[in-house]
Order: sequence, then structure tokens, then C-alpha cells
Amino acid sequence: MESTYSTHANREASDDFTLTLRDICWDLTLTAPQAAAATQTFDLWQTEAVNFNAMNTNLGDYCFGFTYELIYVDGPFAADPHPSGDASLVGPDLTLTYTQTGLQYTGTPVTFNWLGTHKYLIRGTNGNTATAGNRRLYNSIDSNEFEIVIINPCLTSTVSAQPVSDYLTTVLAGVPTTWLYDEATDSASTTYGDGYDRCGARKHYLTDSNNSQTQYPDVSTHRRWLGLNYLADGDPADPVQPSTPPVVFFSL
Amino acid sequence: MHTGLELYPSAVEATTDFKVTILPCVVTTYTPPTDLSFTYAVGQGHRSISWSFAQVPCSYEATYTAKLVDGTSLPSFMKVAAREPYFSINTKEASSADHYQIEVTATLDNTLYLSAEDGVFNPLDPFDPDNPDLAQVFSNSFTIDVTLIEPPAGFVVPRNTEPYFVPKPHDLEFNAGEAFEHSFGKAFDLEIHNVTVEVDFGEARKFASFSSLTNSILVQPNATDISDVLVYNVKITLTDDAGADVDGPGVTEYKIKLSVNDPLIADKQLRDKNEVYQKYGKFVYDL
Repeated sequence: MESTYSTHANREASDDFTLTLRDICWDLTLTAPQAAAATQTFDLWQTEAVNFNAMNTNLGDYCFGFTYELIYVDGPFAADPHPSGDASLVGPDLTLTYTQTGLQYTGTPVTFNWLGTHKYLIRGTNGNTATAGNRRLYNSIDSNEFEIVIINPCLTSTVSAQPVSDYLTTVLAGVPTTWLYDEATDSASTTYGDGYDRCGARKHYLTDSNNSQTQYPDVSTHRRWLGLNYLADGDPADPVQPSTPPVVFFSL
Repeated sequence: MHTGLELYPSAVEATTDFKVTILPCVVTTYTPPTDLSFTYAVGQGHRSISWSFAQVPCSYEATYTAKLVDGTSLPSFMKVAAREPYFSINTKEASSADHYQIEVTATLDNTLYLSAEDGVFNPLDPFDPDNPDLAQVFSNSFTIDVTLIEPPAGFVVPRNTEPYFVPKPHDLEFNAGEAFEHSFGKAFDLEIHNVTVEVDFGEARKFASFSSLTNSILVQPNATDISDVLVYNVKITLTDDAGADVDGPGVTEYKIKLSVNDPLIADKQLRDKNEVYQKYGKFVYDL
């Protein structure tokens, strides 16, 4: 800086300073997204809905929006390398299972290897990659970790059997008489399938009713005429299994 | 009926009650043997015949009765065993020589299962006595023609004849460990002498006894065990008290086999033949 009025030798002096130019979208102060619930429990085959609160900046939506990514942290897939090859990530490609719509992830795990407790986080990025154009210097911030617990509904499923008709037969009536019995649904299969297809084979067995007026002179040996021929899968529409119909048979 | 999930024992099972009602075996046909005929010479001693009715598909036992075809009772020298297909004749009276037509009727034990008669035929009840077709599968008859001829000339009618059982004793069997009783019935003697019955059990004496009051072989429960499973020879001797004036006592010996069976094997064999079920009436199982 120089004085235009002074002729003194000290009429000019200088003071150095540094001017740093920065991207405002990179350096905005970020507020992390937040999972709505620390832990959520779902049945296998159930459609999961994971809500979260939006991220923010000290200038709000200055950088044209935010982008979110669901990140696998820990759980049954923790030892699996991420398909992308990114060594900082583990687990499956979650975009194949979960879909983001607004501030919600939804997904429906359908295989038994999903059973267990999974830890996730949501990574929020300041900027909208779809409208970013040449603006690429966006910063990210991770949410808190949260748990998704996936349980097997078959463990607590309730089986519903069709009424069984009373049976009248006669000794040496030209037996064995067979009776089709393959109509037992279970609540888990009904909720998440066709009533038969989720929880595997049925088991059938017979007992005596305690409140009967039954005469049992020789129950244990009489039972040789009555039995079940195999464990049915319970699905009358299943074309593969069982190969023969499940029956109660009478052999007198 | 319980239905659960094979892979998930913790799942809540469904329980469905139902009843299984088992009726006794229903006889579809009960066929008598063809009529029998034979000739008996007066004085030739005790003779007998037996027969077999055919029943399908069951194997009920039966009660047998006999009468002459004119409706009158059998003469005293003819006898029919009540519970076995066995007819016997024994006479030395020349005056008995004649031709006899005997109608034998067998009535199956399935009559035990007849329902109450109410005048209304229920086609679903195989034991409804109002079923007009029912009688033929419960009872049937056939005829025995017996021609009694006088003894040939010169034949000396014995002054005393041997006592006998009707029916003739046959082989017996029971399961080890179980009680057993079998009566041979009354001992007959043509001359109406007193008859003494003696039984030689041989090796079976250690568990079997004989009651002369009822002419029965007796085995007490648990008197035998699996180590006794064997076939034993038993000799039954009937002796009347005829004196020397009629050539001395008449003696008849029967030799039978008494089998002690392994109960497990015997039970299986019996059940495989489905015989045991016919001994029971209607059963209802709540399952």
C-alpha cells in the first residue's frame, strides 16, 4: 500500500495474507441422518420398513438435496466381502434387497441366512448426485448404528388342521382303508405364503383323548391297525413332495 | 390327531378329535357242509363225525343244536357237542335200528352283537336284527342221515362198553403266564356206570392240574413262564366201575398234546389271523 501524498521513503508498506478458496458444499456443517428406531424386529419374509430422519446442513438444502446409502456394519454377513470390491464395506449389496423411498428403506429378506441380528448405518451425503452436474466435492456423514433383527416365524407358527371325520369301519372289511389327510396350514405360511409353503413338512401323530368313553382293553396292541404312513408336507397342491399322499390307515 | 411342524417343535400343534368306531366282523356268507350220511351197526361202540361250516370273511365260533327233522329230540344215544362240530352215537340196543334224519343247526356267536330290535331296518347297521337278510349269515343248518342196522349174525353185543367224552378231547394250547381252563364236559357211559377220569400230565404236572368235579384241566396265572414253552403229552383215562360180571371195567384212553406258547409269537399269529378282534363287541376310540 502506498501513500499518494507522501514523498517519504516510508510512504509504502506491505502485509502478507493467505486467501483460501473452498467448496461451500464440502465444508458445510453436516447434521447426520438418524434411524427412527435403534432396534426393529421383523419376521423372515416380512416386508421391513426402516424410517430415518433426514440429514441437514447449516445452510439447509443449499447444495440441491441429500443422498443416502444403507451400509452393512455387522451381523451374519459381516465376514462377506462387499461385491463392489470396496474394502471399506462388508456384507451383501443391500440395494438388491432394500429400496429407498424418501426417508424410508423397505426390503423383504426371504432366505434363511438372513436370520439373526444385523447392524446398519445410513450414510448421508450433502448433495444430490442426480443434479450435481460438475459439483462433486460433497461430504458425507454417518448415522448412528441401528439393529434389524430377523426372526423365523415358523418357530411360533400355529398349525390349523381341517376337521377329521369320525370313522366307522368293520373288522375284516376289506382293508386297509386310507384316508387323505393333507390340509394342515400354519399361520406363518398363511401370512407369508400360500398356507403350506414356508415351514416345511408336517408331522402327524395320534393319541387317545383323555375325556373319552373309550374302552381300551388292549390299546397298545390294537393300535397296530391304525397308523400314519409318513410325514406329510401338508401341501395338497405341492406337485413335488410328497410323492404319495399322506394318510391315516386302518388295517383290520 | 395332532399336526405340528416337523422342523419346529416349538410351533403350536393342531389337535383334532375324531372317533374310530370298529364293528365286529360282518359275515357275508355262512355255508353249511353238504349233508352227511353214514351207517352204524348197533353195538359197534362209540362213533363220531365232525363237520365244518364255511364263513366268509370271519371266523366266529358257533353253538350247535340238533333235532330230528320231524322236530322231535334226538334219541339219548345220539349227542351233539354244544360248542364244537361234533356228533356222536353209541348204542347196543337192537331196537334202535332205524333210519334217522338229524337236522344240525349252527348259530354263530356274532348274534352277540345284534342291535336292539326296533322294527326299523337301518341299512348302515350290519347287526340290525330288522335286516331281512341277516338271518342267513347268523345261522344255518344241514342234515345227517344215520342208518342204524342190527349187528351181524353171531355178533356178540358187549356186556360193557367204554366210557367216552363228547366231543373227543383234542389238542389244547395256551400262552405262557396266562391262566387256562378247559372242560371236557360230562363223561358218558352207555351202561350208566360211574366213570373215573384220570389225567397223566407228564412233564406238565408242574403247572397243570385236573378238577374231577368239572372234568377240567386247570393252569393258574403265572404258573408257567417262557421257560415252559413246549408241547406236552397228556393222557386222559376214563374208567367205568363195571364189575367182573360184565367183563370188568371199560377203559378209554385219549392222548392229546398240551402246548404252552410264547405269548409274543402266539399273540402275533392270532392277530395276523384277525381272530382276536372278533371276540370283541363294538369299540369306539376317541383319537
